[in-house]
Amino acid sequence: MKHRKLLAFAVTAAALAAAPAGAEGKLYLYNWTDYTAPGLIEKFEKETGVEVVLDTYDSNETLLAKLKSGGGGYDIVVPSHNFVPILLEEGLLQEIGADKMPGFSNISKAWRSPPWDPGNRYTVPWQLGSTSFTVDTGAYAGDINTYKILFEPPAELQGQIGMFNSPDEVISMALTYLGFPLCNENSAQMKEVRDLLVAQKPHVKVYNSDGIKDRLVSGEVLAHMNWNGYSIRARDEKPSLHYAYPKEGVITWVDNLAVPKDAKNPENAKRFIAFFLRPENAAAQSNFAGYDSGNAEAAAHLDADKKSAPELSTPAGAKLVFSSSCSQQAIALQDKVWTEIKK
Amino acid sequence: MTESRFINFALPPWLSAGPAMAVLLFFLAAPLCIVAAYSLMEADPHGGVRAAFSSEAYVRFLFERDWDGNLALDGSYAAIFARSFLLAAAATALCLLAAFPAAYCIAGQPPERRGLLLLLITIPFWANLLVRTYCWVLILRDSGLANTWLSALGVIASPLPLMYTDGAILAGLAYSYLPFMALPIYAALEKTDWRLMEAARDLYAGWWQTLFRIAVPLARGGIAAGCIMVFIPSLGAFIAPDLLGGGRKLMIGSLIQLQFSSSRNWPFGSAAAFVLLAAVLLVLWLWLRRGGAQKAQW
Amino acid sequence: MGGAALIEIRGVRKSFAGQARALDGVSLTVRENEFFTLLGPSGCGKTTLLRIVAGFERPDSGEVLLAGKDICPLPPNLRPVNTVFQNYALFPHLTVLENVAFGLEMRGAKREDAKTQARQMLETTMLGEFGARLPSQLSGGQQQRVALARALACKPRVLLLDEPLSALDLKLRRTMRAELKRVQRETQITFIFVTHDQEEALAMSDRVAVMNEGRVRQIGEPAEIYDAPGDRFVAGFIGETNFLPGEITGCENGFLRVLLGGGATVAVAAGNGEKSGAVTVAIRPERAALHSPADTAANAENIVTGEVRDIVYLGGTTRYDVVLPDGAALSVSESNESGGGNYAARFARGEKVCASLPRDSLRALER
Repeated sequence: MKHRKLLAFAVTAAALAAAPAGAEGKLYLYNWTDYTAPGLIEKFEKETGVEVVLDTYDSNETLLAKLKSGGGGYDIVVPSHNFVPILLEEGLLQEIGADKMPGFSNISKAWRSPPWDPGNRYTVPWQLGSTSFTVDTGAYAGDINTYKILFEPPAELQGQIGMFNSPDEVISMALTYLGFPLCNENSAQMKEVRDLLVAQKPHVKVYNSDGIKDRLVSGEVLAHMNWNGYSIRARDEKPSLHYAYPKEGVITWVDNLAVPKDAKNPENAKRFIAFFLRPENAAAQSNFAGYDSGNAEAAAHLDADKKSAPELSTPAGAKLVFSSSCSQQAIALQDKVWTEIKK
Repeated sequence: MTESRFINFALPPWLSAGPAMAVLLFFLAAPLCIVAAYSLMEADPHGGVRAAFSSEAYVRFLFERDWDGNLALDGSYAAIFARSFLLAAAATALCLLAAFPAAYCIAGQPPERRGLLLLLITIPFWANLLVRTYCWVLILRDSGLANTWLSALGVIASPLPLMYTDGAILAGLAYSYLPFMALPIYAALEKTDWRLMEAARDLYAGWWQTLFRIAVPLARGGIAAGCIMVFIPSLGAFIAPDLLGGGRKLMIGSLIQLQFSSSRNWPFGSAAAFVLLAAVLLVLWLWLRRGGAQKAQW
Repeated sequence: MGGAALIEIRGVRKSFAGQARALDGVSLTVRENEFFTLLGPSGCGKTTLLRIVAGFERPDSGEVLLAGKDICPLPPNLRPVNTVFQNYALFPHLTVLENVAFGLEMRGAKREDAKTQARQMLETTMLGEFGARLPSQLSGGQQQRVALARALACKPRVLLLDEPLSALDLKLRRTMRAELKRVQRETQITFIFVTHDQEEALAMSDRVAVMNEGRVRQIGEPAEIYDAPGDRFVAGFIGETNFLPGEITGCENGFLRVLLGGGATVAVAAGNGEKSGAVTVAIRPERAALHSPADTAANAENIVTGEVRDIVYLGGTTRYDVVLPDGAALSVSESNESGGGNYAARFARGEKVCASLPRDSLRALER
C-alpha cells in the first residue's frame, strides 16, 4: 500500500518535471536572476494569450550545463555574447533568422551582425553594458578614464580599491590595460598580468563581486570594479561616484535572446523576440534593469533619469573590447595567475 | 523460543538494514563515485568532463606546469590547503574557548532555566548563513558598530581596520558554528554527575583545576564531537573568507567552487574535493585512534 | 568522651528558593576524635548541614567554627575537611590510584609523592591490587573503600560521610560498619556521619544528633537517645515504642503518677519530661512483661490489663500485640529462650493478660 503511494508520488513528480514538454500556448523563458521586467511579461501575455513561465539561472556555466544535459525544455535563453559561440559549437541553438524579423531595423547599427553571430541568424541583443570601475571623485580629483588609477593607484586610492572576485573579469581588465589581447595564450604576456596584479594586491581592500554599491556608498572603498547599470544605482545615493570609460578600452558585453534547438514552442519564442524588438518594449526592460537594449528607437521611451545617465551612453569614439570564449590553455593560464595572486 | 524469534525478526539482518544501506548508497556512495570518476577524466573546455582517463588533476596538486609548460614542484595548492586547515583549526579552538564555559554554566543551572539558555545559544542558527556572516560586516567595517561605539566612547580616534583580516574571518566562522560546539559539550556535561565537581572541590581542587582535571576530561566526547562539527564546515567555508576576509586569499572552498565555474576544470575541482575528503578522514582517524583507546574503558 | 570542641555549629539557618526551611536554627558541637552521627528521616536537613560544613552550601545565617575559626567564608577546597559521598563520586576517568592521589596532588604534593602516598593508603585499605583499575571495574563495596581511602588520604581534621553505606546490601553494610568504626579509632579523625538508619547510628556513634524538620531534637549517646528519648519524635523514630495516652495526677518520690486511658494508674520516672497535664507514656516493647492475670501480685503498682490481639514470631523474639481497655495498642516483645524446636507461645490469641510496665522504663512525653 505504502509502496503504491510512493510510486504514485514518483509518477506525479516525473509528470510535473516533464510538464514543459508538449504544453501548448506557453513560453518557457530561462533568464538570469532578477533580469526580466515583470511588466514586459504581463504585456506580452495580454497581447498574445501565451502564458510565460520564467525560470532563472546565475551563470552562463549553469545555462550551458542545463542545455547540454538536455533538460529544461526552454523556448528562450539569454546567453552572454562570449557563450553564444560555445552554444553554437555544441549545436544547442536553432536558427531564427532574426535579421528578417519585423522591428530588426530598430537595432542600432553598431549592434547588428556582431562577431559572435554574423548576420544575426541566431540571436538579437537583450541587454548590453560594460564592465569598468566606479570612482569617488570626491576623494580623487584626477582623470578617471584610465585603468592606471585602478591597477597602479595614486596615493589617494591606495588600499581603497575593490575588485571583482572572478578571475576572467579581473584578468580581462588587466590584459586590456596592458594592451594585450583577451583570452591570452601567451605566457610571457600573462606573466606581466600576474606581476601587475600581484603588485596591485596591497592596494586592494577587497575582492568581491557582491555588495559593490554598499561598499562604494559607505565609503569603504573609493574605487571599485563595476558594471555600468550598477554604477547608476550607486550614483543615485552618492553623486560623487562616477563611472569610468577607460581610454585603453571599455570591456563590453551583450546578453542575447536565443532559441534552444529542442524548444517546444519555437513560434511563441519568435513572437516574443519580435515583441521585444518594438522600441517601447525594449525601453520597458531597460527601465527595469538599467542597461541599454541596443534598440536605437527605444531612447524616446526611456525614463528621464535613464535617458540622461552618463553610464548608459558610451562616449563616441570609445574603444570597445569584447571578451570571447577562451581556450582551455587561456583558462589554465588565467587560473594560474589567479592562484598566484591569491596564494 | 526459537519460534518466537522467527516471528519477531522475519527479515534476515542484511535485509532489514536494507533501507539504511539504500539511503547511504544513493546519497553518499553514488555521488562520491561520480566525483571520483570525474577526478580521473579529462576536462572539457566548455565545462564538464570528457570520457578519457587522465591523472592530470592529481598531478596538479604538487606539480604545476610552469610558465613554459614544464612540470615543476609547486606549493600553491598545498599552501591553500594548509591555510584552510590552519584557519579551520583556529576557528575550532576559538569556538571551544567560547562554547565550553557557556555549556558549563548552562549545565550548572537549575533544569528549568537550561531550556531557555539553550534556546538563546541556538538563535544564530535560525538565520541564513549568509545573513549571519553579513552581520559581521555591519559590525566590523570602518563605519560599523564596533568602530562607531569605540570612537563614541573616545577609545579610538580613527577607525580600527577590523574588516578584511584573518581575525574577521575567525570571528565570522566561530560565530556561525558556535552552536555546533556548545550543544554536544552541553549534552556531555549535562549527563555527568555534578557531584564529581563537588568531590574535586572537596579534594582541594580550585575552580580551574576542577575544570581542567574533571569537567574537561568528562566532556571529552562532547568536545570531540563539537570539534569535528565545527572543523569540517570551517574547512570548506568560503562565505566568511570572501565576505569578511575580502577574498584576498584562496581557501579550499573557493578553489573548488572556482573549478566548477569560471575555471571550467571539473576534474581538478573533483580531485580537490576528494583530496580534501581524504585529508579530513585522515585527521579524524588519527584523532579517534588517539582518544578512542582511553574512552573505550569507561 | 569529653574531648575538646572541634566543630561548633551556631544557629545555622538555610532555606532554598521555593521550599520550606531546610535548617531552622541548628546549634551543636562535635568534639575532637568523636564519631558523631546526624540521624533523621529524609528531608530533615541533615545532608544540608553536612554540605554546609563541607562548604558546598552557605548558611543564610549562623556560623560554623572549626577549631574556633569561622569557616563559612572559605570555599570547599580551602577547608581541612573531606567528604565520602553517598554514591562515592569517584572520578570515572581516573584510575583508583589517581583518584586517591587526587587530593594530595591538588594540595601541592608532587605527582610522584602523591602516588606513593596513595599507594600506601591503598595497601592499608587492602585495595593495593586495584590501583590500576578504573572505578567502574570495581564492586560497590570496593568503590566504597576507594571513596573512603580517597577522603582519608589527605588526613582531614574532619571526615564527613553522607549516607556512605546506603548503596550496599545488608551484609556488606554490617561489615563496613565495623570497618568504618575501626578506621575511625585508628586514624583518630573526627567523623561526622549522616544516616537515616537508626541501627547504624546506634551501632557506630559516640554521640547522635536526632534531627527533624530542620531542627535538632536531641543530642546524646546512643543509650541515652534510646532509653531516654526527649520527645515523642525521637522515641518514635528510634526503635519501636508504645505510646499510651494519660494524664498526670500527681508526683511523689521522684515519680509521676499517671492515669492511663484504660483506668489504670502507673508510676513514671520523672526525668526531664513533662511534669503535669496530658501526656503520652512511652515504653519500649522489650521493657514490658506479660503475665497471666493469676500472678500479678509481684508488681501490683504498674499493671495494665488487656487482650492478646496478635502474636508474631520473629526468631529471637516473639511480639505480642495487646489491646488495652481504652483501645490503645501495646506491643510486648519477649525473647525466646527455649531452643531445640519446641517453641510454643506463652499466650494464645484472645487470651486476657496483664502487662507490667517497670516504672524506670516509662517516659512521660508531651502528647
